[in-house]
Order: sequence, then C-alpha cells, then structure tokens
Amino acid sequence: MKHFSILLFGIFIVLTSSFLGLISSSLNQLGGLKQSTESLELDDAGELVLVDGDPLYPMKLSGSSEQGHMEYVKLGCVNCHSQQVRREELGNDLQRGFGQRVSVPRDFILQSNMVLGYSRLGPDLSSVGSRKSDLNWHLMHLYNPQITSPGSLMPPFPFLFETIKISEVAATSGALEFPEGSPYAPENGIAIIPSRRAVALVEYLLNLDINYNLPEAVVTKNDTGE
Amino acid sequence: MSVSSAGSPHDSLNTIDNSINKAVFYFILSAITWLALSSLLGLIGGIKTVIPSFLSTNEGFTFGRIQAMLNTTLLMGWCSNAIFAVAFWIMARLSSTPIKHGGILLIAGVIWNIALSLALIGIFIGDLTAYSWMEFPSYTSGIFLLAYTLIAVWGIVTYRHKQNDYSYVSQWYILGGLLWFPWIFVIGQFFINWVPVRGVLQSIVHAWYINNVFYLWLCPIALGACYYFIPKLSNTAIRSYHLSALAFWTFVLFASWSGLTYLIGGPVPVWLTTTSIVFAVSLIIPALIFYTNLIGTALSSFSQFKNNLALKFIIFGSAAFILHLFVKMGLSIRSVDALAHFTMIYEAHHWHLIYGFFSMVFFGAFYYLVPTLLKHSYKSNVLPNFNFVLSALGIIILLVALYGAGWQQGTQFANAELSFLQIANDLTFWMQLKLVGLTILFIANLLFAFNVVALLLSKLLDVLPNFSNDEINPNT
Repeated sequence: MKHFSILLFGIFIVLTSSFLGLISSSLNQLGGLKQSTESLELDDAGELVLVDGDPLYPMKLSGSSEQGHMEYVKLGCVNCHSQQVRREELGNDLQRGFGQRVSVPRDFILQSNMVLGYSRLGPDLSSVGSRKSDLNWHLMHLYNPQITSPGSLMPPFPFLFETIKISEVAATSGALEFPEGSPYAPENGIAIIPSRRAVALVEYLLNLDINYNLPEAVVTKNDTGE
Repeated sequence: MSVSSAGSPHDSLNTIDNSINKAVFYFILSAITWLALSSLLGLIGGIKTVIPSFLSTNEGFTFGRIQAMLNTTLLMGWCSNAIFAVAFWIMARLSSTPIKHGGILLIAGVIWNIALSLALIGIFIGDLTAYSWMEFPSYTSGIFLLAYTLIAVWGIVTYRHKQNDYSYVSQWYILGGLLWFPWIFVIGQFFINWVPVRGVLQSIVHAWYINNVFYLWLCPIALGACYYFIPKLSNTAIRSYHLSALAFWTFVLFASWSGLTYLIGGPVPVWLTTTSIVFAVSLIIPALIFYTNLIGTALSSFSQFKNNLALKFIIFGSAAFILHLFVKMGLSIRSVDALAHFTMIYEAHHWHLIYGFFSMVFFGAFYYLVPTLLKHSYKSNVLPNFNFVLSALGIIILLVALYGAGWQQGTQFANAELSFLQIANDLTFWMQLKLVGLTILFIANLLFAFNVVALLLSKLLDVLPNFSNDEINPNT
C-alpha cells in the first residue's frame, strides 16, 4: 500500500512542520528570558540612566496576589479582559492609559497561567493597579459593578461577599463603604464583608502594573508625572 | 435500537451499516444531547450580556464559567460526538469494509462522555483553566485521550483494510483529522497543563492549539462529509475533482501554519505573526478550489439542491465555510486586525465556523444518515424543512449581530475620547440582536433533536409489534 504510506507521511509532515516552525522555534527564542536586574530611568536632564539596587522586574507576586490570580482564572475574567498593551500603530492603548509602554514577552515570564486575553468587552487590566488604587472601589466594583460603573456589562460577584449583622461580629472594619444614598447599600445594621477570595483578587488587581523599565521597553513618561 | 434483522444479509451495504449501527446511534444521541445543553448554555450567556445580574448569585453560573462550559460542550460534546458518528460511517462506506469491534467503539464513547461530564462538573465548581476552548480541567484530559485512542483506531484500521483500490478525498480528510486531533490535544495539554511553559509561550501554544483544533480537526471531518455527500446527493461528479488533492494539501498545510494571527500586535516576536499572516492569506488557493469543487457542483444540479433537505444544509454549510475563510484572510491583514482585535468579530468568527459551517454540514449529514440507517424515512418533511429555515435564520442573525457589534466596538476603540463604559453601553442593540439569534438557534437545535428522536421512536414503534408477534407465533 504505497499510497497509504505517502498519505500518512504527508499528514505527519503538515503538523510537524507547523509545530517546529511556530512552537519549537519560539521556545528556542523566548525560553531563555530571565528577570531583569537592570533598571533604566529618566534623570532630570531627560536622559536614560541605570539605577543601582532596583528590584528585579517583572516582580514576583505575593502569596495572596498569586491566590488572587487563581481567582481571576477560576471566575473566567479572561473572557472579557485583556492584559496586554499594544503598539501605537495598532490602537491607542497608550493614550487610554492602559500602560505607559507596550507589553513585551519579558513582562510575563513568571506566569504559568497566562491571561493575555483576546476580548475587551471590559478595559485592559495591564496596569489597573496604577490607574485605580482604591481598595474599596475595587471591592465595591466586584460586589456590584453598577455601584461604581452604572451601565457596565460586568456581572456582579455577590458570592465573594458575606452579609452579616453588625451587632454579631465585633470587627466590621473590612466592611464595604457604600456611597451616600446608594440604592445598593444594605439596610442599617447590616454590613457587607468581603471574603478572603475577594480581598486576594483585589490585591492581585492592585498589583497589576507594567509601568516599570526593562532594557527593551522603557517607560517614556517620568513616573512622577512632572 | 439496532435493526439488524432488516434487509438481506448478503447486501454488503447493510453489513457495513449494521456493523456500526449501535455505536453510531449512541454517538448521534450523545451529540444531540450535548447540542441541546450547549444551546441552553449559549442562551444563558446571551441573556447575561443583556442583563448582567441574571443568575449571578450562584458562582457556577457566573459568565466566565457559562462561557467555559459552553465551549467545552460544543467542542468536546456536540462536535466530537457528531464526528465520531459520521466519520466512521463514511469511512466504512467508502472503504467497503465493516467496522470491526463496534462494541469497543461503544464503550470508548461512554468513557468519552464520562470525561466530558466530569469536565463540566469541574468547570462548574471552579477547576477551569485560563485557556479558551481548552477550559476543561487538566485531570480530565487523560480520560479524553484514552477514550479517543480507543475510538480513532477503528477508523484508521478500516481505511488500512479497505476492500477497494480507490482512495477518495473524503477519506484523506477523515484520516487526517483522526490522526491530527490526538497530536494537537497532547501538544496543547503538554505545554500548558502537564509541563507548563511560561509566559507568552503559553499564549503561542494556545493560539496554535485553537487554530489547529478548528482547522485540522473540525474542518477536515466536515470537509470530508461535504466531499462525500455533495456529489452523492446531487447525483453529479465533483467539478474539477483533479484540483481537490491540491486543495487538501494546501488547506491543511496553510491552515496549520496560520494560527498565530490571533496574536497580531501582542507581546510576541513579530516574525511569528508575520509567518502566520503569509500562510493565512495563501488560504485563498484552497478557498477558490473549495468554491469550484463544492458550490460549483451544487449549482450545476440546482434542482436537486432545492428538493433535498440534507443537501440544503450541507450547501449552506459549505458556502458559510468559504465565506469564513475569506473573513480569516481579511482578519489576518494587520490594518484590519488593528480594528478587529479584542472585539466580538473573533467571537463571531468562531460561531461562524462552528455553527455556520460545521453544525450545518452535520445537521445535513444526520438528516441523511439517520433515515438511511433506520431504513425508515420521514412521513412529512415539514418539520425538518422548518429546522433548516430556523437554523439558517438563527445563524445569520447571530453572525450579523456579532460582526456588527465587533465592527462598532472596533471603530469606537479607535476613539480614545470614548470610555469603555460608553462603548459597552452602546453595544446594547447588538447584544439584544445576538440574544434573538441565540434564541432562534436554541429552538432550531431542540427541533433538530426532536426530529431525530421522533424518527427513532417511530421506527421502534413500527418494529416492536413485529417482535412481539414473532414471539407469540414463532412458526409464522
């Protein structure tokens, strides 16, 4: 059956070639990327200088941020949010403030559950930590996005929160602070407490920030905004 | 369910059909069950994009998990079971060989569905992965693989032992698809779940995986079905058949290399996406041949097309597929991608392939296969024809809604003045239209399931009294 062997050979070659050409070669090219010890910053004269003693970039996530990252995966946030800043000619990500520079492969080398994203039904979250740094805002937004962003298409995540009677528990310091007169606020004597998962998720979001310098990707704006 | 008593035992077609009857019916019934579930999940997801708070108090029903369950039921449930049902039957028919050990096929099918049920429970309780179209938890992947191996080996063995000297393009596609899938599956699982690579390498493997599952698993089998059914049902030879081999090799090679266009503009080396763009644009060669081979053949026998239900579905699917390929070529161009990236155009493109092409072709195949295997035809074609109208309408509305939504999103992204909240708000009309499309599809899919099951039941009702008579009067 000469014909059968030729067919099998062709079938084999098709997939092997695309595997070698696209996957093996990129493993080869990117597999060796390491965290950067160099850090570049603009000095007063507007020139790039190396700063000593800076931490490694990208930085490792803390334990609880790492847990928050898992929550991000488990809740399927990646369906509507991306985490990549694209080049200027392909959109206005920089103008929108999704980040102060474009994303590069090195930004992601520590991640084993990549959430690069493919849809932007919601905004990009590459640097959401530096755009919105208010813990209460994020918790409120998770509890019910309509409180902070009326008309949002994001689903609420009430199951990440507990409703308790204030008198029952001594410490209600972590309770959500609703804006005055919000229709979503609980009745008097009732508090909404974020679960550990909600706090971890928000901690992860607050840590998302790519506004640091890498040798191949320099933040163009001065960090202080001056 | 098997009707092996009917027909002459010397009739080789009957022998072939009977050899896989039970297994094929098992796969058909599983496929339509998963299809019904997936359309329900699709509907829930559709409602959620109009009313975000719908069913939001239970964690398992949150949008991300519904989406993950939807993808999994569609791909591993409906598409895979439909493929198992149709591919083996075509393979056996074209090879003039009965499938041996149909019983193992059946057991493997049961294992496959157990894996899928576990996967859905896993996703519901939060064990989903971060990768679309492979959201099923990694602990189920081994079971899928085991079941698949037991299933696919029979298709390949059948081709190897074929009783005639011909080799049809249909068989190439089916053999290719059956061999490619486990390989793509293992590479995806290996680099993402078992021995995870890090960072964007995962995104590269993921893009390659989605692309190859779509174009080297779903497409080849559906194309195999097109190349089998279109000439058969329209009673004409494939037009320009000599080009079909060229179409086969160019399509599978170019499509397999074109996967990384999903990452255009992303944090990956530019040469990777450029390579994929070149191959994606080259898909114009097979696309034009498909047009001549499939649509050309159908147009040359238009009267058959009007009167044959199965053919209508399959031609609709083929036309949708050629359109899909042109959209794919368009989306791979950088300036188009600049607008389309991150919009619903990509979601539309996936639905276009799965519903517009794959499902329509398989609906047609089922409408031919089920009556043929049962030797029992529909008394009236009203409901099946209504199924065609509803499916076609639902798909067209869904695709208009999603492509329209994506286009609007893309043009609004370009205007940095508009906030994301505003852009999302402006999608309301399109999301409502999408919900209309999903609702029609939901009804169409239930009708499809009803039609298949009703035919099965009416055959059983016909056969049962005869059995009981035989038992009472064994001498007659």
